[in-house]
Amino acid sequence: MSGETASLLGMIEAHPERALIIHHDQPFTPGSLSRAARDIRARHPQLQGANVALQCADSGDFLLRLIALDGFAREILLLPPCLSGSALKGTLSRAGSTHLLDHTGASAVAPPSPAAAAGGETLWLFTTSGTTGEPKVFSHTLRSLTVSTRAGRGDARECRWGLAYQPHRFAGIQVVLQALASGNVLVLPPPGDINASMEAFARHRVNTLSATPSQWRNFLSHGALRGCALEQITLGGEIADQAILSALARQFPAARIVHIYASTEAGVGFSVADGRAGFPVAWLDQGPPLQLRISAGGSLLIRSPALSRSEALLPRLTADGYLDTQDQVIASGDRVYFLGRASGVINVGGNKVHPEEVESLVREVPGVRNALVSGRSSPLMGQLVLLEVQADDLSAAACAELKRRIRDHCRQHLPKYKMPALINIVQELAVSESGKVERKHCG
Amino acid sequence: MRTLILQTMAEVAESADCTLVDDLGDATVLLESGLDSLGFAILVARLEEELGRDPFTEREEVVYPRTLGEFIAIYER
Repeated sequence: MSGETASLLGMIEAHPERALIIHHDQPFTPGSLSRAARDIRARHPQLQGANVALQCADSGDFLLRLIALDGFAREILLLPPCLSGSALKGTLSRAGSTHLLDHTGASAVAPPSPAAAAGGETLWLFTTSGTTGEPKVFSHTLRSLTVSTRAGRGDARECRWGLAYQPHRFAGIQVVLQALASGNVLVLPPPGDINASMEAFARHRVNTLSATPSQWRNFLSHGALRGCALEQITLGGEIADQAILSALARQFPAARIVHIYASTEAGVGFSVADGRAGFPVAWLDQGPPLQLRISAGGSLLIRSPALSRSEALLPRLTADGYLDTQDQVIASGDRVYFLGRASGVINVGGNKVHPEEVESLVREVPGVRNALVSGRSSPLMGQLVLLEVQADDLSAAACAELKRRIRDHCRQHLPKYKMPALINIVQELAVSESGKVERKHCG
Repeated sequence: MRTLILQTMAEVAESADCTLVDDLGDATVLLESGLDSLGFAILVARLEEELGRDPFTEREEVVYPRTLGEFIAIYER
């Protein structure tokens, strides 16, 4: 890549004049996006070569400013809209941001660093919410991001993308870049609830949608997706279990259903399209470009030229250049299944329980909408397995019956220590802004 | 309280795949009641959910009831 095509603006300007982004029912062509982005550059000359933090509640505002900043600013810090106060200040200072750009304009937040040299590719800094404490920051460039977004694509059909993720997130940017790089239409969600987004997606004939398994479970249970003739369904960000893959296949028999494994920090991943949970054992110990291996500790190791160059990842690299994803996996038969994060493991009297394993088993029980397993501290066993189940019928009789079915099912498939010790049936499980079920970490 | 504890014990035994001894009484030694250590941990956790308190952690001195009667007495205090 060279010249303007190496920036997001160049990528957009390379496309013919037709709707590229639809927002609030308004079409935006490459020409109109380019004019608006160049106007933002002209109004904020101080942002050239600066380290700019970008924060907008509206996804359209956010993307337009991102297009303006790539190839213009030195660094872009993609911030969640909810970050404010001391958490915002702390993140800006840790990332070394000099300016904050939002829908009202740009403000200086710190003097420019004398070491700042102009030129080179713009660095995109993402924040991960992290399970605890302050967000971690990791960096990419448009080049490193599009290496991974383009991998495995190549179908020529007309994609009409819906954006179910927030655009400041790695997963959201993946969708945005896949749509923009290929010149396909991207429909942005209007502000509001799931139903408003789904209605907009149906109205603009979205046929390609990527979301987390928890979001998909919500989409299915709210019935909001019936109006969408989906041809391509992607699941990412959480472990896709067989129950959700099968439910989507039933509702959208014509769709190609793909689940993605991606290590956000590392910027690499792969997709599985055979409709089965996990991935084939045959993919292990293969040659480049994407090399996978299981460590002695049971976690997935990845080696790829697309690995992020973040210094934070160095301690997790093996001597031969594999990254420890810290995602626990298990090979069983012809598949490798994901068990969850090593850090999310519950310890019941010295026995390890992966919440995701229990959750996925519980979701197989008819009447279970979604399941969340966490550790509940117990003075006797250290921790116990606490299960929260989302169900429609909350009457006492239905709850008792559902609990009985869950226990029967678990008893057949799990050793005793993995069985949910406590079951709470709730109407709704909290889904975080990233679209994942909110995993609590308690002692 | 006694009824609640006995009823919860029966539920825990059922869900934890344990069989309680037939002649459950105050003199029954807990370790011989049919519930294992995991079962007791679950029993205490469920009673805490039911009653909003865990008498084993809210007291200064550590108590290890030996019999079912002692166990029930701790909750009745």
